[in-house]
Amino acid sequence: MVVIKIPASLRKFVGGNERVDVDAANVREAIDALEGAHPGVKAKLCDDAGNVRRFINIYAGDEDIRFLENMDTALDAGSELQIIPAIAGG
Amino acid sequence: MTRAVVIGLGGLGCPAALGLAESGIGELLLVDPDTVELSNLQRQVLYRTADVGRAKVEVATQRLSESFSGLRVEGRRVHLGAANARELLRGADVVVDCTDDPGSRFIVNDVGLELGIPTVLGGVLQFDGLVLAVSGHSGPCFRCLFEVPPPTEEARRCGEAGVLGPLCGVVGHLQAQRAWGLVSGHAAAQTGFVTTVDGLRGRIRDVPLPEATDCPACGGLAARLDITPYSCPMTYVRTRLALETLNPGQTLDIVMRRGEPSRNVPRNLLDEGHDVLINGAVDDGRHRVVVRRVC
Repeated sequence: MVVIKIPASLRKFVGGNERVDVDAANVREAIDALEGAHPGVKAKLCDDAGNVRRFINIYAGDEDIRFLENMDTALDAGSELQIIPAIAGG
Repeated sequence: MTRAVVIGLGGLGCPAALGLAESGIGELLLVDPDTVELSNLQRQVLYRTADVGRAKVEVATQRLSESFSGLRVEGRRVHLGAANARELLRGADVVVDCTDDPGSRFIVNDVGLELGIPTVLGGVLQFDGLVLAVSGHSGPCFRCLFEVPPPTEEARRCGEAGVLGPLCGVVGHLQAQRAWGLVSGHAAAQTGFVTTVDGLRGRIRDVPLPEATDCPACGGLAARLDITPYSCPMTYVRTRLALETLNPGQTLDIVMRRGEPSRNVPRNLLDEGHDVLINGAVDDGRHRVVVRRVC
């Protein structure tokens, strides 16, 4: 089980949940499983080609996945994904 | 006299400016093009109902001068952009970006690094906030985390999407605390990570900024090294081995135990001619050194 921690601004796309648990062996599978459970949320995270949008970051544990294997970054049971969007307001 | 520039006097800029004044900063330059609107008052704590229609910089300057008699404060009623950023930032000891313009954060980040001025960037929307402090002389920086600003249709502002009032206070005051830390010899504890604030749960979390970004603004951080398990002289042996894997000009972020390692490692690095960019305590037990390999 992989834990995806959802920032407050995206919770309305995942039924208000603070975290969503999915079965996944890598980041791509985790996001697809999230989309399967909550259709529409993937478009908020990824562009049409399926890559993470450039103003959003996904961390596996304490590591930015861009500097790991990106969407192919392997996840173990108990891994935690954190989504960090660029927050525009001030 | 320490001089801070606050860009944007909205939900974050009001508590940030107040926090800087409370910290005892000597000079404040406040920059904002807008006037006070009724909908601002819920969170923009420097303004009152009678101020609606007045320039924010004028009201904020007046309020802060009244409350902090030793503070020199001036306002500039302009929008910060690429054309005037250098002029506005030059001479500052620290710059705090509190705008609702995602493009502004990139400009402040880049110009701060160009001029060698530390910056504190914040954002807040609905129930999410973030704070990120950048040393004036080395990364990692805002551009290491986010490569581009969000497109206009994605970048909703607080006036449109709403924002939790107390979250603005938490994030704005945290920006002031980071700015104070950067100008008072505590830079080691303020930089290298992004702080996310979850306004719904009240949780605050620090996440390390990425390494090896080849960032066009700061050059990126080449590597991190944790030598807290080691004692002297192994601390310096490990540091030298890590530095040898870097090219000249690249930076290494080292964390070590306080005491003998924190006395010896920075001194040895300086003796060998490297640039020690950050050198200070992170907490009671740990010390951090950021070094640029020179030769």
